Order: sequence, then structure tokens, then C-alpha cells
Amino acid sequence: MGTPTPATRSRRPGTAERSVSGDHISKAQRWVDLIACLLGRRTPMTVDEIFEAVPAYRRKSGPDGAPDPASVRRMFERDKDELRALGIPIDTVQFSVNYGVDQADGYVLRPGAFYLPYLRIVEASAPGQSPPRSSPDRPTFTREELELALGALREAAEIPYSPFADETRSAYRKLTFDMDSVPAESAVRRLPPPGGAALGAAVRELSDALRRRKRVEFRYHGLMRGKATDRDVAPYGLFMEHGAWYLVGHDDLRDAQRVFHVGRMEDVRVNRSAPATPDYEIPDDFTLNEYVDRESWQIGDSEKDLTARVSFAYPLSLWAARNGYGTLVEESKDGDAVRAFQVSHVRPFLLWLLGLRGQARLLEPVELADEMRSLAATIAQAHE
Amino acid sequence: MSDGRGTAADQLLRLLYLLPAAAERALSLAEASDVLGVDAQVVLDDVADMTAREFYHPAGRAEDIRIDVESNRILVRSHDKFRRPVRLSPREVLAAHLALRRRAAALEGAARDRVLEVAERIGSDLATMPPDEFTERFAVEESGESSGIRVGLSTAARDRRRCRIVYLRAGQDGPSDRALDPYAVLESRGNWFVVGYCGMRRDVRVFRIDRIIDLEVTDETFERPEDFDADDWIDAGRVFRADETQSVTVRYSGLAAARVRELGPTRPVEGGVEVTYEVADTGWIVRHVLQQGGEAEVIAPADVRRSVARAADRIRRSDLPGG
Repeated sequence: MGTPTPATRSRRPGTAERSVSGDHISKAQRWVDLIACLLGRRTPMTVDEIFEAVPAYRRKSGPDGAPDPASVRRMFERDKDELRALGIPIDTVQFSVNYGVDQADGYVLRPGAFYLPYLRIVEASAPGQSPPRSSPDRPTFTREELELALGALREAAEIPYSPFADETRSAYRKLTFDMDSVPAESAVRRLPPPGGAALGAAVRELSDALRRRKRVEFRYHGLMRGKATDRDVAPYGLFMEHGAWYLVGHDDLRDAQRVFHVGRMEDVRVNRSAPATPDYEIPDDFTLNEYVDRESWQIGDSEKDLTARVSFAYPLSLWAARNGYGTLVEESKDGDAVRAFQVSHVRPFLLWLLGLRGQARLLEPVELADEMRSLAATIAQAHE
Repeated sequence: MSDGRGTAADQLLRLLYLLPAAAERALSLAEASDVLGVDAQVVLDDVADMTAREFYHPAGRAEDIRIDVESNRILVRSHDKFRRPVRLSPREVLAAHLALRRRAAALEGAARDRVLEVAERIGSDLATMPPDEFTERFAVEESGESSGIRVGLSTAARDRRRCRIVYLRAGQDGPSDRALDPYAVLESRGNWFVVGYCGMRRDVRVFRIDRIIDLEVTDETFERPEDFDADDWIDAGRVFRADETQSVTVRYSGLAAARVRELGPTRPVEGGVEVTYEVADTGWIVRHVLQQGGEAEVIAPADVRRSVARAADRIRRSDLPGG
């Protein structure tokens, strides 16, 4: 290579050891070597062939400097598992050797399964027509579909502390790889919530635990109790609603399925033992859809199951209809509307109504009205 | 790692993009840094790791990939390897699914099905392996009924398309029709806003998107002023701008402290926490205190205390059943 590499002249103090001399081969270099050697072969490679072709395996030795085949094998197995988890499709195959006399285990990385194919971009199909024919060999999208996907990815990349922010950006990069021009910049700006760095770290930890089905422990500041409690939870799902992240899982303390606001967790710890072995099974009948797109008085397991009717004065009735609050029961000529609500948790519902400052009037049930009066009296007295 | 290179996996994923991108055409260091979202030095370190392969490979073996940096441009020469990026990984497919499912939530019927179909096709045709059950364990739903209008405004702001909105301002007798040139869509703590030129006020204004009752995106276009800066509409992590404000101090009980911590910095006081807000709209702080259900008290000023007392008393005396 004729050009002096800038990295040899621009290394910063304090960075991880670099391998310019070749004395040390980094993990990323080893992985590139492994991928390159598998891609270079049309036929499966045996482990011995791989160990010979990849310098880090060839050189690896035990503490006494002697070759250490067991340790090389462990390193290769770990590498293979980690690369597969990253989406590198290394397949294990059996193939014939010795002119078909014997069978051997081998590894193969098929270029067709590895490389992103060229995207075929076609003009929009007419309304009512089926989408363009597409296949893994010849993926086809209309221009409109691709712009839709890119716009959605671009917006999703802005979600503060998304555990998939990096993957969202890299998926965007790949989809735009063959494009001469990319869609205009998004006009959406999302402001990071306070305490964001800790929140982001917690969401990433929980995401990792969920993927590997490992239990998590944390200290939780629930809203309904004055003190924090220690929780031990088997995560079932993670969702973002109204800008906040929530974890759904089986809570050992309550021996029940519960929803936790990630912003109210402290000291999130994932069970580190047996990292490759799941700690629990997720029930077959669990579905995250039961939790998402709900209001605060609907999230979580029911403490009550009430139907409340609320009258919204015009023009607040327009706002309630526009945002889909409750179900319309009746509407008067002057625009007032009565809407029905299913209430699982009374307090969040009453707090929401209080915030509407009397423009939404609770019609029934009486027990909620009594609680509402009591809350309003407490607030009024505190401010007299 | 703290040096910006991240883990070995992060580095590998960068290299698997950088190699084909710079093989296609020489890539400037700035472009590579921008597209990969890392410092230029991190890109240089990645390049150094690739060039170093020739030190430890037997002669000729590492020449499958040659990577040079000349005048801050990266150039890769590769005969047959790493000429294309890698197909999407399972986590990238999940990211695309989440993004598109979120977009689908703003739509209905055939339009919604079509977006979900695109998500499926990305998973089936572009991935290294099919999406697994992990995909179903995540959801990003910020939809509600307002998401269709939010998406419409976001697209109009991006494409500089003039809109007509029906807006319900708090405290007004009814909604008003306005022309709006949307400049930016902002989100703070789950609340969405649009900032733009209001034809009725003849000035730039901020609108709560949940109060936009109807939206029509017209074919007319507009120019966004060059000096417009969305940052001018953001203060302490909130979408907020006012010429005149007043300081309002609120004390929260220990029970409410966890919820308030989500909103911003607090001061610990005996039995709870205190927060001082800069408030332009007294209605906002009254609503906020009412929503704490007796777990918050306005400490000062006195006129805001009285406003809260009056609002609570009005609710207490209102025509509630059983009273």
C-alpha cells in the first residue's frame, strides 16, 4: 500500500491499543478476516481450514506459548455466535469429503444471503393495484414506498433514547446506498427528556434483557406509594407511549403482570449469570397490543372496571372527538357531547378530568363524583 | 469504550458499510464521518485497523481489500469482496418495522395495510435472516387520533407546503380557520407542537397539535425565512417562547416527586420537592397543579394561588351527581 495511513500518524493518546505492528489483532479485525475468508470460498470450510486462514486463530496460543486448540475453538464458537447475532448469516452445513466417502461439518457464508442486493425502484402502481412483485433476489419497491420507509426511519431515528437508534440509522444508510439523492431533511425535532442519559441507558439494558429473556432488578418509584420498592421482573415487552418508555413484565413482588414507567426506575441490573440461557418463558397468550395506545387510566391491570360518562361543553367537545377520548354517546344541537370511558384506574382518570378545569363534567358514576369532589376540596383548601 | 469507537460490533458494522461505500467512489472523511455518525478520528482509526491487516497476513493475502486515504479521501480497492453493504440485520429489520408500524398507526384501511406490507417486504427481501419473535416485543406508539394530523404537518413542513388548519385555542368560544406555513414540528415529553407563520396573526406562532381539529395541505408552497431557528422556540427542554413570564413556585409532596422528576430539575425540601417555573400562561400552571390531585401546592405568587383555589372550588361546587 503506497500511502502512509493517516491512522499511523494521527493516533490519539488514551485510545485502545492499535494493531499497526500486527502484534495484536483486534476483535473487529479478526471478524473481518473470518468474514473475508468465508466469502472467498464457494464451498464450505472446515474448522481446520478456517483456523489456518484466519491469522488470529492460527497464532492463538496458551499461557505457555504452546498451541491451544481448545481455546481457539472456544474463540471461534463465540465469534460465530456473535456474528450471527449481528446478522452475519454464517451457516453450518454438512458436506461430502473424500469423494463422497465421508461427511464433514463446514461453514459457509453465501454472498447472496450476505450482500444487500440492488434495489429495483419502480414508479407507483395505480390505486387498487397490488404492490410490485418483489423477492429476496430482486427486491422491488415503488419510489413512493421507499420514500415512505426512509421518512419513517428518519423520524424514528429522532426518538430520544430509542434502544434502536443506531440500527435505525444504519437501516437508513443501507436503503439509501444506491440512491443518487436522499429525501429532504425531516422538519421534526424531538427534545430529549430530562435525565435522558440515564433513561437511555436503562432502556438499552431492558431491551437487551428482553432480547435474551433475562430477569432484571431495579428500584421503582411508583406513583401510588410514597416509598420506592425493589422489583425483580421478567420482561415481556417494551413500549413507548406519549414520549415515555414502559416495561411490561411479570413482577415477582406482586406475583402478577405489571407495567413500569422506565423513567421511575433506578439502578437497573440485568441478571448476568448464564447469559446465553433464557431465565423464563413469555406466556403464549401475551400480546403487547393490550398495553399500547392506551390512556393512563387504562394502562396496567384493572383495579376497577367502571364505565364513566362525561359531558364536554362546546368547543371542548371538538377537542375530545378529535383526540379520540372516550366513545361518543350523544351530541346536542349546540355542540355539547357526552362521551363514555372505560376506567381501570380511577385516580389517573380523575386527575385528567381535573386538568380540564370543569369544562368536562362527570355525569356518572356517583362514586367517582364523590372522589372528584373530595380531590377538588383538598386542592381548594390547600390554596385558601 | 469511551473513545467513540464503541464495541467491536460497532466497529465491524461501520467497516462493513465504509468498505463498499468507499469502493463505489472515493469518500471524503467528512462524508464518512457524517454518514456513520462518528468523529472523523474514529473513521481514521477504523481505516488504520483495516490497513494493519497487511502486517499480520502472509504476503499477498490481505490484498483482497486495499484501503487508502489521500487528501482526506478514503478509497477502497477490492476485487470481489465487500463491494456491497450487508443485508439488514435482525435488529435493523426491527428498527424498520417499528418505524413503519409507528407510521401505519397514523393511517387507516388500505393505506395502513400498505405501510405494513412495505415493512414485511423489507423484512422478507432485504434481511440476512427472517425477523424473529423479538420484533413483536416492542412497540413505539405515539399515535392517538392526532397522529394523522401530526404526520401531515411533518410532511408539509418538510415539503414547504402551505396548510389550512382549524385551530381550537384554549379559552375561545370556538375554533378558527387559519392559513399556516409550518416551519417545524417539535415534540417535548409526548406533547407535539407546530411552529409556523400564522396567516391570521401575521406572525410566527406555536400551535399545540392536539388542538388542531382539521388540516388541509394545499398545493401552494412557501419559503421558510432563512433566520428561522427552531431553537428560538425551545427553552429548558420545553417548547416555549414568551416575551413576558412570571416565576411560579410549586411544592410537591413526596408521592408526586417521582412524577415531577420526569419533568425537570427539582429542589428537595422537607417532605417533598419544589420547582420554580417560568410561566407565560397562568392557565397552564393552574391545570398542572389541579392534575396533581392535592399533591402539589403553589407557594408563590399569591394571585396564582388564588386562581388554583377558585378553579378547584368551581369543580367542587359544580353540578356533579350525588352532590
